[in-house]
Amino acid sequence: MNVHFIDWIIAGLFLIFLTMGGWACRFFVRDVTGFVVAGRHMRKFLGLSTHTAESLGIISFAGLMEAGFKDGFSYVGVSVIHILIVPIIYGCTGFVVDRYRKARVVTTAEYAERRYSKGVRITTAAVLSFAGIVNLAIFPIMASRFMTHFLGVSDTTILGMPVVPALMGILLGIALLFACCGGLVSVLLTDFIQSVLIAVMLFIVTGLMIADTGASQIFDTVRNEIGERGFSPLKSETFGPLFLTWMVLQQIVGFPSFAPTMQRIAATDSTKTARQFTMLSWLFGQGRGLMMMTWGVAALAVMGATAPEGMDEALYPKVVGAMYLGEHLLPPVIFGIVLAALLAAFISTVDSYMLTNATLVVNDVICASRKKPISARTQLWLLKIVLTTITVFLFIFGIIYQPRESILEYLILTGTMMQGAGIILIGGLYWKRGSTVGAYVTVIACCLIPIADLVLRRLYEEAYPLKPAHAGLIGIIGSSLLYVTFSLLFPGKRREAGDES
Amino acid sequence: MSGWELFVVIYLAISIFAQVIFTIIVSVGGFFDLRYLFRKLNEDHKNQQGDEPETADGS
Repeated sequence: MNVHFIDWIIAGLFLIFLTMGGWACRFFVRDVTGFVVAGRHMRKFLGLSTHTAESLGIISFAGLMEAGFKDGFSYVGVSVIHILIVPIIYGCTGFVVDRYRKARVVTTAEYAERRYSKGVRITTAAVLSFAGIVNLAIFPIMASRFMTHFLGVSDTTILGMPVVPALMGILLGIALLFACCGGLVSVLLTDFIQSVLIAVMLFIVTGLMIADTGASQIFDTVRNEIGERGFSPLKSETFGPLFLTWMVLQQIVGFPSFAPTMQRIAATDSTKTARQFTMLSWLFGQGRGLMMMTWGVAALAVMGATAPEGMDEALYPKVVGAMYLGEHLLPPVIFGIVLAALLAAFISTVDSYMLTNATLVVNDVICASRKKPISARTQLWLLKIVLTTITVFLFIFGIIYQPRESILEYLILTGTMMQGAGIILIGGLYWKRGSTVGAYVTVIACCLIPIADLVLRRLYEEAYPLKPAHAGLIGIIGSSLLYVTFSLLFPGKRREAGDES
Repeated sequence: MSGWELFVVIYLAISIFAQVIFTIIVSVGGFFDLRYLFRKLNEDHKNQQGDEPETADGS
């Protein structure tokens, strides 16, 4: 075991402090608007700091360190695309963001009802929540595997249960507690605290890594072990031109389809804040991602490219970063701070995404399907029931999931399932001829193509000829073409989305 | 050092430096925004006392 008594104390105190903060927030939440969009009082810096925490889970640590370990620095190409696409297209110009915030909707699906029909709203919400939950489903299991290797307890048991599912259950229980306590207000407070802690941890670990391994050895390792493809995105096997093309389209269509981000935009106090939040949040995230990628390269330099005896070769790249941090790099106390930050990273991401998906199910599927309105009190109870159901699903999925793709590929591919919503949102806001039939076909097709890829990949294994990037590109381009084609073939009466600002 | 290596070094250095600056600004700003959020929620709570709680779509 890598963890000392003092590290448990640090992490435990942090969890108690965080739980008290999250619990106290329930006194500020009286209605559903307060619960799901924090009364629309979120300003720019709070949005930015909480977005940092929300978008940085243990899965990000594992995925980016895996990317650095396997592909060196070639991930920088993806980072450049992150900087160029969303901040310029959405942040600077206010494209989608301005009109979406002015519509004063809570979710993208709610907008779909105003622009298309109630049926499109329900379909979009069902697809978005399903895709969101499938996307989220990998988080607890990969986080637990990462944590067990970080703690050095991968071979032990808790109360007779293997440590990975036991830890997964504990982590999910904590995230559920936070999500149920005070909704988005609780999530914003805890995310803010966590974002500060995560930032401190990132800088400490990066400093230790450079002091321990040295910048020159890190670069030499990439030169010797990976070669030119470890630097050039154009020659990279994983993050090469095909992947970058997918990322460009994925960013353009994916931004407005990602429900947690759109929930943050809905929660801002004005369109100006929404635009600034959009622009800065993507710029803000790049440095931390690159730091974690560099830890992965350092893990390659220190731990070596070959898995230790007895370890699955496919699992090794996913957990080697954790082994490097836990077994090699971190001294006591710093270990405790990093452990607390990792717990924070897990909780802040999972509670936020669970809340977003539960909101979609309750607000846009259950409430929208009923003719008689549901009282605010019942809505709040429904949210908590759905949150609990999602937690149980995540636990079961984690036990049966067998990875066939890298973490980043899984995340981006399941993210593509949501992008039909982005296509119909952009089409609805800016193309008068976008129709209800076109919206139905787009949302469903964009969800089915990545599912087919994930299933076929498991059926045919090595014989399957496509990369995840192929399926992603087919999903986005094909669905966009279907939207245009079916809108032209089956035009409907345009409904005004409404501007209530 | 090849062209891509040089690009990686410069890009990493700028990104990490920018991250430090951003973190400081956003952490301080976030603290004040958090205070603002709780103040506004308190005001909402006082204004709504006696009213029926609001649903998500504002009805």
